Amino acid sequence: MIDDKPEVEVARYVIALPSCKPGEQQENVLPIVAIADEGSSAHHYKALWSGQGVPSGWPYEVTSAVCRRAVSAHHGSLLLPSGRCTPERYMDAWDDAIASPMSVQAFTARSGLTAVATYWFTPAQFEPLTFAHTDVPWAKGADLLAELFQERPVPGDVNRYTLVEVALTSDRSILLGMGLDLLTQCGRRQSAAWNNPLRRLVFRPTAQIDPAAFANDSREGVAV
Amino acid sequence: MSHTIEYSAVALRYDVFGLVRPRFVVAAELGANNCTRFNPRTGREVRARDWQVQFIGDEDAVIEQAIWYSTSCATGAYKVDGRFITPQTMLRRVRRMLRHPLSGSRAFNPTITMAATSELLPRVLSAAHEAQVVQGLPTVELDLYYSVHRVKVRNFRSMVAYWDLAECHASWNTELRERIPPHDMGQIWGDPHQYRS
Repeated sequence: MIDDKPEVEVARYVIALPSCKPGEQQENVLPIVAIADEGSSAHHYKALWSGQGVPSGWPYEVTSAVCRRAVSAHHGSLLLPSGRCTPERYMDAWDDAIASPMSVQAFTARSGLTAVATYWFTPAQFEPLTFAHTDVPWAKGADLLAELFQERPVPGDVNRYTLVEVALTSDRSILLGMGLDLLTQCGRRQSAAWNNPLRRLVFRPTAQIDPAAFANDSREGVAV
Repeated sequence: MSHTIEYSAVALRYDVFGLVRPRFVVAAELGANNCTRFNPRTGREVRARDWQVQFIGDEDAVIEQAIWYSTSCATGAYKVDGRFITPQTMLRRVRRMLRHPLSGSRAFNPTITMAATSELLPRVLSAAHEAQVVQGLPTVELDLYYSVHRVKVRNFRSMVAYWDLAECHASWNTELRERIPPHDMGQIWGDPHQYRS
């Protein structure tokens, strides 16, 4: 079973995430792959993460994720730059990355990206939210909602640790997305505190996070 | 941590009339590290172990199942002779077994076992009917296994139909919500080396 457009994986990284629990000895890691963009020499990054909970995989979970991905290599829908490869060779290609996990700082310096997990809430769910683990300048979700809907400038640098998105669903109801930078300890703690299934993990170019654009335009939103 | 130990494994090759590619059954002698039984002959307590179907299908299907299964090696839940192996080593072992299979061993009994409540049961029964299971023999049996009612479908007359059924349902790459694991796709009567055809 070969897809029409196979993915070409140009690089593999394992990022050592900071511990989110005091005294935790086990290092948490996040596997990331760089996928070549079709028709250009550029590439984008993708986390090998199942989407369940915060990406706090233990080292053996990386190997499990790699094994699951190796099925695509077997089918021919995942290629290395040198072409088609066997699942064994694909797993071998991860050996170096797994043996020496990269620090968060090294990865962000290399890629210019930051990992943001976006949690989606309805306004009713958003209102009672507390932000115990972040240093946002509002105490509750209700405070932020008041600022947003009265079109007043939101105090503080909202994008330092969080990023708010507003989206319209297909039935025209509003969803608010709170983004947490998972490469920071407080972001990961807050992520663990919110057990919300409506979430996604994306990598955003750090330079594109513009508070002014967010304050003016984001309520237009995009359909999800 | 409890884990599964593989004591021995062999690939069985079946050249079925009507199928272009040969079909394989990878049979393995497996047991949990923390379950024991007493050897009736010596009276000594030994680790429990049984021969099971581990992977089933044509070469592609077997390799695909082995890749999925190799995640157990990565987590240490599956060991060979009690020793940790990497997923790559596991895959290379399976490929080596497929290159040197036992042909036509009679140790393999194509019997599909599934829970009586399984959503797949109607499909398997209708496929078994189409497969012309041997009439006059108890081809569909009901049994109780750890308080779960199970259905066994056996005595396939047409092996082509059996393999179609096995490959459709044993594969992880199926759109069905439920799948039948390979060890429920057939039985191994003992050491396949002693059941040569």
